[in-house]
Amino acid sequence: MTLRSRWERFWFEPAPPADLGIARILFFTMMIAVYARRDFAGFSEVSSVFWQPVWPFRVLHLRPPAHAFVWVVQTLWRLSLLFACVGLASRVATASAAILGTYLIGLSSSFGWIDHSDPILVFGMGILALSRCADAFSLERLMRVGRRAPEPGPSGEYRWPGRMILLVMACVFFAAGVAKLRHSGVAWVTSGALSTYLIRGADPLGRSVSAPILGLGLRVARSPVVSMVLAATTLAIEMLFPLALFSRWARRVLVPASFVMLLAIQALMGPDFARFLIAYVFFPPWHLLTNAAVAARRQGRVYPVAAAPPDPVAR
Amino acid sequence: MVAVRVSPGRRRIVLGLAALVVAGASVEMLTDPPFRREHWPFSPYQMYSRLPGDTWSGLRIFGVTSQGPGHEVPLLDDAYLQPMELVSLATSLDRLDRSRDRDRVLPAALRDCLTRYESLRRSGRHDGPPLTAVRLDRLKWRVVPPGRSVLVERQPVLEVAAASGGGS
Repeated sequence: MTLRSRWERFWFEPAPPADLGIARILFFTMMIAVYARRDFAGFSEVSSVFWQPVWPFRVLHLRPPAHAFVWVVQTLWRLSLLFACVGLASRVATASAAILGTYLIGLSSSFGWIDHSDPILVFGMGILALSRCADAFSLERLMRVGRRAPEPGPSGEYRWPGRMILLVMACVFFAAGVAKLRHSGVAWVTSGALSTYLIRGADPLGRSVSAPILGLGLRVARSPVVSMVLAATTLAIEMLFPLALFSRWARRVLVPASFVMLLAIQALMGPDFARFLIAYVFFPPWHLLTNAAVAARRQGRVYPVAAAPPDPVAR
Repeated sequence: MVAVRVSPGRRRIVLGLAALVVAGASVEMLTDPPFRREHWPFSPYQMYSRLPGDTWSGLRIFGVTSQGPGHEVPLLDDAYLQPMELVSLATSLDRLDRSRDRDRVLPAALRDCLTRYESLRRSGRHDGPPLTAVRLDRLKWRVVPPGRSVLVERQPVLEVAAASGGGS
């Protein structure tokens, strides 16, 4: 297989529109759920001594904005997320969700801490804004059905957005693995570093991130073998993740493995990966669910007729 | 069912976007900039990459309640100082403490925390106790085998009272 055909297959192998349509609904629903309680407007009232703009804000000389301005941007963003979720005016909605969301997330990252769960969502919103994500499972589509528009078939248009998220994810995990090897080498695995991080994460006053979900962190920390195996597994998943870009089998193993790894880190150590995990909605073959639902509905239609009792009048 | 073709324009967008993602990630990986100099939304993802020592220290904010000195609560709940989170606060205070302009910015930061805490409390956004002052302490912990940590040192850094509004 030539490089060109490999490239073509990776990005544009036909996929059913349902995969991207359902991913769009889940992505924006979770974005609304996660950011619903976040008051971005409150940042305009935080003292300017905390202001430490992220790179694009620094380059564009953006300052902390007025409360009313952020409130309006925040309200428009939430409306955009809602419209993008249901697939109404999707071109405008996804584009404004991406632009306004990037601004608000950038703003919240300009007060001392960059949450590394956020950037993948910035990419996710941008990718959806450039895609045909509302061709299925959208109000727009329903309206077109009303006008008897034909149903779109499988296409590369519905494949590349998920692949782009996979590429972003590969860059994230590989960078994290490279950073560990650069700053600590294999000692990151062999020296019990993870054990120390788990102990720090379990200290209510000593940690600077949220509390672990499970109280198992200290138990793991007390077993040098278990914590070393977990550290080695983490590093292996991070360094090997780029293979998911080249091999179907690697994708089947590494994508779920990385999902479980993030859940385990959050459960044992505390850092909140809930926002990063939203990006995984792009990977399941959702059309299998919809196909099964359609098949079940068809069966359901046939069943009562086949199993109907004999007509009592005829008897 | 209608066939949806991928247009040449879309192919160019995908190629451009992929090139941007790979280039941005590569620059961060190769240059490995320190935390605050990274090119957001790209990052070298350095968190938890360094070998942690057996001791570590950090600045923590405590609220002094109306019951007076000694009656204080650590401000650990994100709801107390929202939209700032505990992690943003800890990182920021550490930076301000090392700043050349420390004598001006650190009291201003604490005053802001106290004002925001009280404002959020009065509006019912959290149920913490009323505070008369906030204190900033540098705490030091040590890992103690087998697998636990203890607080080994506590050093007062600054206190800001509500009424006076000044630092002490």
